Parts: sequence; C-alpha cells; structure tokens
Amino acid sequence: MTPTIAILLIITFVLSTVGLLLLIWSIANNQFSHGQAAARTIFSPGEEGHSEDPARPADQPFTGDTSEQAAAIKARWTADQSSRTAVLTWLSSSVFWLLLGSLFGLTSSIKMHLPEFLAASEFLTFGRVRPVHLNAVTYGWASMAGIGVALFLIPRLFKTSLAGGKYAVLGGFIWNIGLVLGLSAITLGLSDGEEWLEFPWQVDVLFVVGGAMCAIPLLLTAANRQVEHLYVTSWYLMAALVWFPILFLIANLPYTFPGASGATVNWWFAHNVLGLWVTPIGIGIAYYMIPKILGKPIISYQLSLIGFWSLALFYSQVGIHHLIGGPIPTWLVTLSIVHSVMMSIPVITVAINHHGTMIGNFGRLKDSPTLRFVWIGALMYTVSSLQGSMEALRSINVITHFTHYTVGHAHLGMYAFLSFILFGAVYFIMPRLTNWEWPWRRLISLHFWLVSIGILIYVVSLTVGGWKQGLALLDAEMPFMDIVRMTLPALQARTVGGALMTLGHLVFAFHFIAMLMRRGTATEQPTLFRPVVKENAQ
Amino acid sequence: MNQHDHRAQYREAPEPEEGTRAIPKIVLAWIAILIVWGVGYYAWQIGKPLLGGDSRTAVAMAPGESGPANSESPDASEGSGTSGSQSSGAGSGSAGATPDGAAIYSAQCSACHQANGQGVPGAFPPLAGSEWLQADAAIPVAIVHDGLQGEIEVAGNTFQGVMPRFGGKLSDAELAAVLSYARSEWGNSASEIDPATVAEHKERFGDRGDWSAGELKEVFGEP
Amino acid sequence: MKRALAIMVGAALILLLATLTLVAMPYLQMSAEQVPPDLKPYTEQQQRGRQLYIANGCVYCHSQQPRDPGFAPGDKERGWGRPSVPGDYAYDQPHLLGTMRTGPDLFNIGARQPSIDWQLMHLYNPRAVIKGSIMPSYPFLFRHVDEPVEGDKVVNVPPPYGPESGKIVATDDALALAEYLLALDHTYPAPTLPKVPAKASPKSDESKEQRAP
Repeated sequence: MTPTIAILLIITFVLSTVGLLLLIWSIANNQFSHGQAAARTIFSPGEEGHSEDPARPADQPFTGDTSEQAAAIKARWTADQSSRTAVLTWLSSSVFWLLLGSLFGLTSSIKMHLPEFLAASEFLTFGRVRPVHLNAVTYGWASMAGIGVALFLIPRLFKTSLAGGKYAVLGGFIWNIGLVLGLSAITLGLSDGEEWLEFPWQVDVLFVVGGAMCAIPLLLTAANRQVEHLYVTSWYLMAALVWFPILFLIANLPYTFPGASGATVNWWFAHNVLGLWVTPIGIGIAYYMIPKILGKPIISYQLSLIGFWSLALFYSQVGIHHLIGGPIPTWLVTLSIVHSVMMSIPVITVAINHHGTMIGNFGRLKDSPTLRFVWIGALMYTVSSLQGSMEALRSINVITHFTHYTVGHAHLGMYAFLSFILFGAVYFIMPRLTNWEWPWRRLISLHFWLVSIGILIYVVSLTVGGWKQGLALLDAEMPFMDIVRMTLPALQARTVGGALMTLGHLVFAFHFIAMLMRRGTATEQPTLFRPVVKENAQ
Repeated sequence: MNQHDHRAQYREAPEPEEGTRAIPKIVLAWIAILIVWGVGYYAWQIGKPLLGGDSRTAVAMAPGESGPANSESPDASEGSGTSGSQSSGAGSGSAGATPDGAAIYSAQCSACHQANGQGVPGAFPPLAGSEWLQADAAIPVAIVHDGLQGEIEVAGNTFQGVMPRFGGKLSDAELAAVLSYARSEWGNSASEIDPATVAEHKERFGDRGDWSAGELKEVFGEP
Repeated sequence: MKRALAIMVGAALILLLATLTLVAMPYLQMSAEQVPPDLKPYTEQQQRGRQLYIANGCVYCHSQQPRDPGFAPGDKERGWGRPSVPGDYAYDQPHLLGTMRTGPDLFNIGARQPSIDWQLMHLYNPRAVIKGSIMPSYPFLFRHVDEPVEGDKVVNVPPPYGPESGKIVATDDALALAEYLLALDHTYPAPTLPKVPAKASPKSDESKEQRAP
C-alpha cells in the first residue's frame, strides 16, 4: 500500500506540473496561434478603442453609421433578445434567493450572540437557519445568477442566437423547485448532514437535471457559433458547466463513502464548488466585463491560457486543506497543501490580466457601476485567493482552523469577489434585456456603499476576532468560556456588517423590480454613478 | 434600424478580445520557485507516519499521555501521578509532579458543581458546606471513586441524580488532589486527603458499582 | 483556443484525475485501515440521537476531531482526548468531523461529562449550567408537565431558567440525543497511532500490551 500511494502521489504532482510546463513551452513556441486575424473578426471595424462611457467625448467617434458597425450592433441585439427569457428567469430567481438567504444569514448571525433569539422553535434553531443561509445563497443566489449571466454571455461570445433557450427556462423552474424542497427539508430537520451537501440526495437529482438543461443551450449554441476563436470567458463558462454536474453527482452518491473518507469527499466537493464552479464563473464574467466597459483588450492571451489551465490543474485538488490535522492520511493533506500554494499561479496570472488591463483607466471607477463592482470583485478574488493559499499552510492553518477567521475568508470569496462581480454583471445586463435604463442612480450608489461597508466590517471583525480566537484555542491555559466571551464583539460587529449587506440587498432587489416594471423616466443615457447626462447634453 | 431600441447595445464597446503581451519573466520565475518549493515540501514529508491521520507524532502515545485509556482497568493506577493526567485536562502530567487539584476540579467537576462550588439548585448538590464532602475522608473518596445514585440530602436540600464514577478516569493522586482542593475551598475546612486513602479504598471495595446514600450511611456511618 | 470540445474534455479529464487522487485513493486507504477493537457500534437509540445532532446542526459549532498534540497542543491539553484516527469513524455515516469550534470539540464529551442529568439540563438551557454560554437552548426537545408520570425523565431546571410551576420532562428525542453524546467516548487506545520507540519507555509499553488485548 505504502509505496503505491507514494508513487501515485508523485505522479499526481508530476502530471500537474508537467501539464503546466508543456503549456508554457507551447505558448513560447507559438503552438496556440493567437490569430490576430481571427480576433479581428470579432472586432467590428472602427470599434476598437471605443468605450461604453458616453461621458467621455473622446469616445464618440464610433457612430454606427457604416454598415459593418450597424451589423455588429444588430448582432448584439439579436443575441440579447434570444437569451432574454432564459436570463430573466434565472436572474429574477437569484435575486429572490439572495433576499431570503441574507435574511437567514442575518438571523443566524444574531443567534450567535443572542442565543435565545427565536430559539423556541425547532424550525428556526441556529443549526437549521445557518445551512438554509448557506444553501440559499450558494445554490440560489450565486449559482442561479451565475448561470443567468452565463446564458447572457454565451450567445454574445459565440456571435449567434441562443439555441434551445427554452431548455434553460425549464431548467430554471426545476432548479427553483429543488431549492424550495431542499431548503424546506433542512428546516424540517431532514438534512443529509454534510456541509455544502445538506440537501437530501433525492432533491439533488433536481439540480443535476436543472443544470443539465442549461448545458443543452450551451452545447447547441457552441455548435452554431459564428466565430472561430473562443474568447477566454467562454473557456471558463464551458469548463464550469462541465465540472459542476460531475462534482455534484459524485459527492451526493448516497451511502457510498463512510466515516473519514466521507469527510474527504465532502471537502473535496465543498472546495470544488468554490474553485471549479463559482470561481470560473466569476473570473469569466470579469474577463468579459472589464475589457467590455473599458473598450480595450485584455492584455495577454498567453496569461489567460496559463491562468485557465493552471486553475484546472491545481484548484481541483485543494479541498483536503479543510482537514489539516484531521484523521486523514498525511500524504493526502500534503497534496492539497502543495496544490493550494500552487494556486497562486492562476491567481497571479489572472490578476495581471485583470488589473493590468485596468491600468490607466482607474478614473472610470467613478462612473461605471458595472466596472466598479466587477473590478472590486476581481481585486477581492486576488486577495481572498492569496489569503486562501496562506491559510492552507500548516503553520497558519493550526491557528485559523475551526475559528471565525475562516468564515470571514469564505465571505471575502463568496461575497466580496463573486457577489460583487454578479452585481456588476446584473447592472450591465438588465438595460440590454429590458430596453430600459436603471431608474435611480442614487439607489445604485446606496446599494454599493451599503454592501461595501457591510462586507468590510464583516471581514475585518471576523478576521481579527478569529485570529485571536485561534491563538487562544491553542493555549489551554485560557478557559474555553473566556474565548467565547472574547469573540463576542467580533460576532456583534458581524451582525452590524450583515445587517448593512442585507439592507443593500433590499435596495438592490427593489431597484431590480422597478427595472422590470420600467419605473422612472425614459432616458437615452445609461445610469451611472455621476449625473453625466448634462455634461453630455448636445 | 431603430436606434432607440438598441441604444444599450449601440453605445457599448465591442466584444472583448485579448492582447498578445508575453508572459512576464517574474511569473515564470514564480512558477519555478513554486515547483521547487512543492518538491521540497513533499520531500520534507517523507517518512512521516502514513496511518492515523495528518501530522500524527509519536508524542501521541508517550508514557502517561495515553489518557483515560490506560486506566480502563483498576490496576493501571500503579502509575499514579501520571496515568490519566490528560483526561483531567489539567496539563499537569509530568511524572512525579503533584497533580493540580484546582485544574482537575475545573476540568472535571465544575460543569455540574460549578466553579463556586454552589452546584445547581434542584439538580446538582453544592460542595460548599456539604456534610458528605467534609465527612471522614472515606466517604468522599467512595463517592468520587465509585459514583453515587439515588436520593440524597445535602445541606438541607434533597437531590435526585447520578454522580458518575471517576475511578477509571483519575489516578489515586489526582483523585486525592481534587478532593483535598474541594475540602478546603469555598469556606470548607476539612483535612487533606492522601493518595494512600484512595488506594486503601480500592483494596477494600475493589471494582464496585454506584453507592447510594443509604449504603454510604450503612458502611461509613452518618456523615 | 478554437476547439470547444477540447476544452470541455480536457477540463473533465483533469477533474477525473483529481477524483482519483482525492476520492478514490483515500477511500481505498482509509477503508482498509484497522478499526480500533474497542470501538462500539451505535445502539439504535444513539443512532437516533445522532440524527437529531444532524437535524439540529450541532456540527456547525462543534468538531469531533482532536488534533495531534505535537501539532496543536491545545486540543489535548483541554481534555479533548488523543488525536483521532480514521478507524474511530468506522460507524459514522455521514461523518460529523465539523470545521468550527464555536463550542468545544465533542469527540470525548461522553467521557468528559458523563452525567446524563448534566447533558439534559445543558440541552434545555446551556446557561443553567454554564454562565455566558452562547449555545442555543433546545426547549422543543422537552415537555412542560404539571405532574410527571411514572417513567418520565424529570430535568430539575433551577430558576430562573425553569418554569414557575410544573416540571420539565425530557422527550425521547432529548434522551436519544443525550445518549448519543454520552456515547462519544473515544478514550480507548488507537492501534494505528504511531508508537514511541520501545527503549524510550519499556515499562509503559509493557503495560500497554496488557491493557490492549
């Protein structure tokens, strides 16, 4: 057994690194011909250097007058119309689950320092409210919004209409039914018992089917595509939609993995939901939105390639760093630690691409809601991922494991990174689907500041409180109850932060509904953070 | 084409594409560093135990540290002073040292009898002012070593409950230390208890089950 | 890149490699590892209590996996027990290792708090026995009766936590959960933990052999 494991272990690491080195070698030798000519076909003549922001007079030369430019606009419009019903189905659902999920999150946060709050009812006990929060925001908000944005981007990326959009609509209904049943099951005490996998496996079937329904339009549209060159966003979206069903299916196989090996499968899955499902969606959206708003290309195709394939090679094997020090073979934990640190390769390459593209354009953050949300999200991806690599080291993990620090980290990733990018994407997409502008720019501002200040308080308080808690837990001289008392201020601050975020979501949801109902006044100008209409008046 | 209908699509920038900037040298250098580090980290783990779990060391089963396991049978108490010291949570386990009664009390007893020795009214009897605790040493030793069940009157109140046995969990020295501590705290003023008293008790009663208040009175007399 | 299929197949293959190393191989190794001979399977009542532990989400605040004292000394010094080994979880389906220690580790709670009265009162209202505890109370696992009948397990909750009149009686659920907690006692030796070299402590090893038949 022992030598076999050692050999397999070496093979895994060697395969991953050799894969990466091969990729670098082939890039160096121009094996992936970038094909400037191919890229030109995506670019409509005269469009290059044009910008989304109408406040800048310099960006006005694109007039759409030539027939080619008119055709490009028409193509975008056709693409957006074809995905309209499907995207609105998924996005509207996601906003509902965001509200529900954040109310449950706030409730569980309050319960952490006021234990008698709503304690009399078994349906609202902390141990049920918390998993309802997690599952509602992960599978309801993040996954549904992510799929919604993906459905919007697919026809645009492939320069064609979305084929089979009705399957995606049907998939959305099945997914929603799954959420209702799954969250009810948790409330009734019928949880499967493993974190991130609480839904009973009978309900999980609905998610597999609902997700597969979204793969149909992806495959049909890819087959119909009008471009040869695939833009980096589409790599991430395609990979994510391949990965999620495999992961979800294996991890939920009922009665297969007992005891400690069940724990490895549990955390292999739980981290892959982050790494191979919501992360590629978030990165992919940022890869689209940043150059889209700026009107300039992402700086390096080569870095995109390394970033994508190294994410696949390394992120898929990091999950066991959740079990450092646990009853899990050392070799397995070591494998995950090494790969967690190797994760800094995709993170740094993606960071260079995202932030490098931003250089010289930071002033645009003052105007564009989409850019501000998406870029902060991209920045938080860099921060939370590097933090995650650090946390995987045994010397750091021995302190942070089992503490509120990890909860802060999780929200930095799932919220400050992913949710911010999704907010930005929703602000971009909705005007194109409803043919209406966001009614009130001040509500966007309010939403931004509420959630930003909220998540800042949240992460800072739990990071500091959790670190102190972790140090104290290692020191047996400190009685356990003293540690509990010591963490109380952090838990209370978390409730403040969480309340601000929930308020922000109420504002966002209200604005979203107003947008669907076409409230406010008709305008030709986009709704930006600053009132640019006057400056731009002719 | 109606410009108004397409205005959002009209004003936006073209579909994004990628530039062709080469991979920065520093990224390649970082990749090289990480690969070297990864190989080194694996190498560092060579020879670590493969069974038992992550980061397991032989310290885990060092003498006197195997916890309650080595006092499952009564004769294990020969290693008094060290055996089972871990179960006390006192962290006082070095061989030969006198166990810290206060620490053992805090870890083993205070959950029920509370840190101030007042117990929980109606549920767990007080130790402060308890006539049973401050009686002849044989009685508290019997209660803690073998456990107690059934109705009992303590300091004027009647309690109905179960006191678990600590005979298999605490060594003679630890048992004596924690009793000595309780007999001199919270206004109590009874004599210290010697580990030998515990050993005597064991010799006399062997591996006996729970006591009841009646049996205690029968064997040792009124407290 | 120009080939959508290649991307998707490549992505799937990489995930399969990860599945092999992180799912299949650990399963093979850990299911082959020796189960400690002193580990007892759960009784029906304990298993029912375990389901209540799952249903009410105890796992979100309590771990069941002490770490090695050479790695994280606090775990053992707090009395949470020896480091756990895969075999300790042979009867656990699903696992309840947990990732939070908002409350203490429960791997050996049955050995640490062997009194069922304490467990029940603590479940009814943790603050009745531990001042300042932030654990929720679970009143829905108990009944409030005027006069307990024969066979009722009465929990003598002190004021101000108990009712003004009548008695608090544990339901079968509360008893099952408490029995599960009492069953969390892993104080037996674990055969797969590394041993100290024999010459370092010959006496200790000798006595260990006697104890672990």
